[in-house]
This record gives sequence, structure tokens and C-alpha cells, in this order.
Amino acid sequence: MNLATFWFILIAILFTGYFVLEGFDFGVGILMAALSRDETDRRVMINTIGPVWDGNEVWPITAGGAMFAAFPLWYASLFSGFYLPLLIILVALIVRGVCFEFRGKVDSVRWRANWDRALFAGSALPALLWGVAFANIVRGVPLNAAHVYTGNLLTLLNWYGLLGGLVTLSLFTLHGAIFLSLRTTGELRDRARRAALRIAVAAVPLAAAFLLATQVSHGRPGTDVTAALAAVALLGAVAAAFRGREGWAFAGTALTLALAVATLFGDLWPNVLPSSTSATFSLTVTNASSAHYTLVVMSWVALVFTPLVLAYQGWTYWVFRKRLTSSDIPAARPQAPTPPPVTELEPAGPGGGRP
Amino acid sequence: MGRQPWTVFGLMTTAQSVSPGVTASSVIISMTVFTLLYGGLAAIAWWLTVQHVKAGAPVQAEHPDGAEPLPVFSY
Repeated sequence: MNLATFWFILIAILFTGYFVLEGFDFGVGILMAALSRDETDRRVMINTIGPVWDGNEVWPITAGGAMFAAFPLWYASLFSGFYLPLLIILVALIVRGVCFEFRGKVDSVRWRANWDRALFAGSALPALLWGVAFANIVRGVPLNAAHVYTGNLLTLLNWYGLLGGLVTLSLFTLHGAIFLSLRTTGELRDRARRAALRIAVAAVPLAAAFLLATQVSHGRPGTDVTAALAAVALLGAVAAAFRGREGWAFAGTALTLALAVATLFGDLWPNVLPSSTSATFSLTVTNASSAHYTLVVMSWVALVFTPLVLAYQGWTYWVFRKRLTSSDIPAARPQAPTPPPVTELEPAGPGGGRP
Repeated sequence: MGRQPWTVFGLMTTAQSVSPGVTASSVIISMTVFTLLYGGLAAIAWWLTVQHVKAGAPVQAEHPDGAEPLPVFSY
């Protein structure tokens, strides 16, 4: 395996990490209005992802950075070609991040309701558009001999791209519902579990149709295996959710997303951005990559720092592993003049481990 | 402005480094969107800051039993 292939796989892993982690963040944002009955429910739901959502959003930045450094031509053609869709994703992510920070800053029902609507849009749009983008990367886009994208925004809204978008939207929502059932208690947990089963009714056929269409047009024997395993993992996740085994269900949807990304990148290789104009104009792992020396330096840096980053992200999840209940949410707003007594904040007592 | 016309000094000019596939209208759209977005966020942040200043500093929580203050969920 040469270094360019190593970096292709590493970028696939970074996007896998992004979709597995940010996927449930998007799902929580999409489901917050539908699954909450009061303000405490909404704050419980936001706090399930509160300590991790911003860390999760570093993954696509790292993936984009790795693309820029390892495959500058891929980065250039993709980010110039998908300029407006990526702009929409970026705006949505900015608005989403601000929602978390601002919604609690003013004690007003209307203020919070407006931010909650923005949170829904800021979560649903990227959840849809990432699927549209990746489906189009696998399908191929019009690139000329200079690898310049010659289509427009509507070129990307073909049936396969839109199907891919609906798949990520429904899978992330399902992933988020299962995550919520894993991280909450009581009625909210029950509602999240029931919602997961209802979402699965849409997510499973959509994912099956997308994987089938992908494998018929772009498949190879190796990715037929990962696509089949993705389907098995998804069905297993739904079955586990049905039986109330939330941990297994979450592992199942996480595995589904990982195997789906593996399938898409496996189908893509050795291309990185196929040209639908002419196969000779396609960007490949070879013709889009940086010089060997650049890749050597990058590989050493990645080998040193990736384990560190994984360790501290893993530690964050370990610290915030407990289920959240409404009693974890202090009654007063954060900016209230007098914080509530300590005893109301921490009912678990010593050794509770709840941060 | 001293570095004009170079993007990479002595190697690549700014004219050479313009993305060939990005239209002027795309750039105008993104520039407008980001200006409006950050302008709006700046206005909200400024308004919130003024509100917080007007509300004054919160009363310090008392911990009579000497217990360590516990972190609170921020959202």
C-alpha cells in the first residue's frame, strides 16, 4: 500500500468518525422539538450532546485538512465545484452551534422557540446535504480536462444524490433517536425508543435502496460485502431497539454508518472524484495526490497526533457516559442571579461520577 | 498590500491562484451571506452583552458545608 492510498483510507476513517459522531448530534437536533414535552426535556436532550457536539465537528475539518494536504487537486475540484452546497452546510453548522449557546441566554419562550426552529433547520440541512454530496462524489460529477467542475448546484440534485441525502437524513435521525434512548431515562427514553422504530420504517428501505443502487452501478466484490454487512447491522440495530437493548442498537447504527462510508469509499477507489464527462478526466488517488515527501511528513504527524486526539475524545465520552434525567437540569436559567443550592444539582451523591 | 501581486512570493501570482471553477456570482453570494450572518450574530451578541451588564454580577453561591462547587450543565 502506497502512502496516497493510506491517506485515502485515513480520510475515509475521518468521515466515518464524523458521520458516526455528528450523526447523532444532527439526529438530536432534528428530534428535539418532536420528542420534547417541556423545556426540561429539551434541555436534557441538548445536554446529552452538550459536552461532545463541538468536538464532533472537528472531524470534518480534519478530513478537509487531510484532503487539502494529501490530495490538493481533490480538495480544489471538490470545494470549488460544491461551493454553494458547502456554503449552505457551513451556514447551517454556524447557526446550529449558535443555537446551543444562545437559546438559554434569554428567559423567553419565544426566544427559545425561535432558536429551536433554527436548530432543527441547522441540523436537518447538513444531514441531508452530506448525503447528497457523497452520493454525487461516488456517482461522478462533470469535470473537464483541467479537473474543473462544469456543472452547477442543480447538477447535484439528481435522483441518486437526493436518495443519498434522504438516507443520511433518515439514518442520522434514527442514530440520534437511539442515542437519546441510550442517554436519557423515563418517558423521554421511551419516546425516543418508539421514535427510533418509526424512523426505521423509512430509514431501512431508503438505505437498502441506496446501497443496492450504489452497488449495481459502482460496486465491486469487496464492497458488496461491506454493503451487505451494513444492511445486517442496520436490521440488527432496529431489532435491538425493538427489544429495548439501546447499547446494541447504538452500536448497530454506528456500525451501519461506518460500513456505509467504507462501501462508498471502496466504490470510489482508485478515483477520488470521478468525471462524468470522460473517465480520463477523473481525479484519482495517483493524479490528485501531493508529492511523496509531503505524504511522508504528514504520515508521521498523523501517527503521533491521531492517537492523542482519539484518546482525549474517548475520555470525553467516558466522563459523560451516564444517562441524563430531568433532575440533572437546574431549575434556574444560567444567568439567574442566584444559582440553586448545590444539593439540587447533584442528587447522585459521592461516587455518582456524574459531572 | 505589500505582497501583491504574489500569493506565494516569487512563485505564484494572485491572478494565477483564482479558482477557475468558482463564478463571481458564487463569491458574491457567499460574501453577502457571511456578512449578513456575522452582522446579525454580532448584533445579537452585543445586545446580549448589554443585557448581562445591566443585570449585574450574580450573587456568589454560598457553600456553608465547605463542599466543592459542582459544575452545572451549561445548556
